[in-house]
Amino acid sequence: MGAFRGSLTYSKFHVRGELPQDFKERFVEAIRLRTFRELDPAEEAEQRSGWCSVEHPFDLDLTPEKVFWNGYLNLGFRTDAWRIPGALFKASFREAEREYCATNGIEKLSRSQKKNLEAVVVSQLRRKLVPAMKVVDLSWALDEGVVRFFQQSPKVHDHMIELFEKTFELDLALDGAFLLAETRGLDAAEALPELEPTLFHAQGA
Amino acid sequence: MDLVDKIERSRFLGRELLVWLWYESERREGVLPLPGGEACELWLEEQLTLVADMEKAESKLKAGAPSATPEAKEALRQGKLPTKAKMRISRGPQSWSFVFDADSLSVSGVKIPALITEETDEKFYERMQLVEELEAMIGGLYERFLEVRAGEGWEREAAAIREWVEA
Repeated sequence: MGAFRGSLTYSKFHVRGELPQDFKERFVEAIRLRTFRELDPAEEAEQRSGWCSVEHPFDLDLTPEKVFWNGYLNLGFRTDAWRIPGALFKASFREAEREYCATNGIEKLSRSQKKNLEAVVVSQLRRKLVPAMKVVDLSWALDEGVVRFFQQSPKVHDHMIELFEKTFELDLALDGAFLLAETRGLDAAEALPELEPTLFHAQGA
Repeated sequence: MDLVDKIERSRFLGRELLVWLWYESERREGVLPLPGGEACELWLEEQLTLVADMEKAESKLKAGAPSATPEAKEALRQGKLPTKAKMRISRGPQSWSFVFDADSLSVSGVKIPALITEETDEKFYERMQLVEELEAMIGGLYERFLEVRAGEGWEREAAAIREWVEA
């Protein structure tokens, strides 16, 4: 479903703003600052997003040759997240709770003890698990000023837009009736927000 | 009016575009002119979803040509408008099929014409070129729609569409 194989499902964004003159050097540097970083079980972060190679999600050495494809800037938007199965967490927590109470000679955990123990159990389980990984292709047609992002979930859009805008210091706007008219340079564009909806059934006549 | 307001206030035009494409496709037996003298063929096929603005109820139609079913026209007569439609656009020997979302003007499940190249990077360029061609045709049709929609002849066009809906 991505840029390279299969049927294509994507959202189209318009880049608002001009490319800086030295954009290649600048962008490579900026991308490197926001390249994906692996999650560490010791950290509190539950998930993290960053850029990776569009061809290989494990390739995080983003050289200009891997990023610039003639007139396109191609990146993978990688998000790793800890997903601890509920049943595994519950069973592990019960076991840890039993041990803690036995060691400390108490019958029941206080609220703060419970919270601390939950954090310990989560950290222990994370060391045994591999984070769930999702990668979405992103292709920016530089001359056209259009970004095609091969995912249509608004939640994923929000995360990608945040990272994109921080990385490139340019805004993204999702395509739609107004922007399509505006970017095609149509005279009618400015009048569109003033139009009223039409009724097409008999009662509307 | 800021950009967000302009985007939100114009969003309804996507559904009107889809009604107009449906009407034009039937009226012109699939052959739709594009700006610049070219033309493409456009058909609605297999899936069509219509909703009423104030209601949650939606009509999801699945058939070989759902837009030709009595249920489709009946939904329009009830004031529902199409929000999603599976379409096929052809130009010359090339053909694209996809689901068009009227609210976002986005496409999904796009099946592009067969590729010529085998290499990964060449394949990518060819796929992007074919996607850009599809977007250019959709953009061209939208441009034609806006010429009518934002022009003086819209009332006449809307009346003709209402007649088609009631027929």
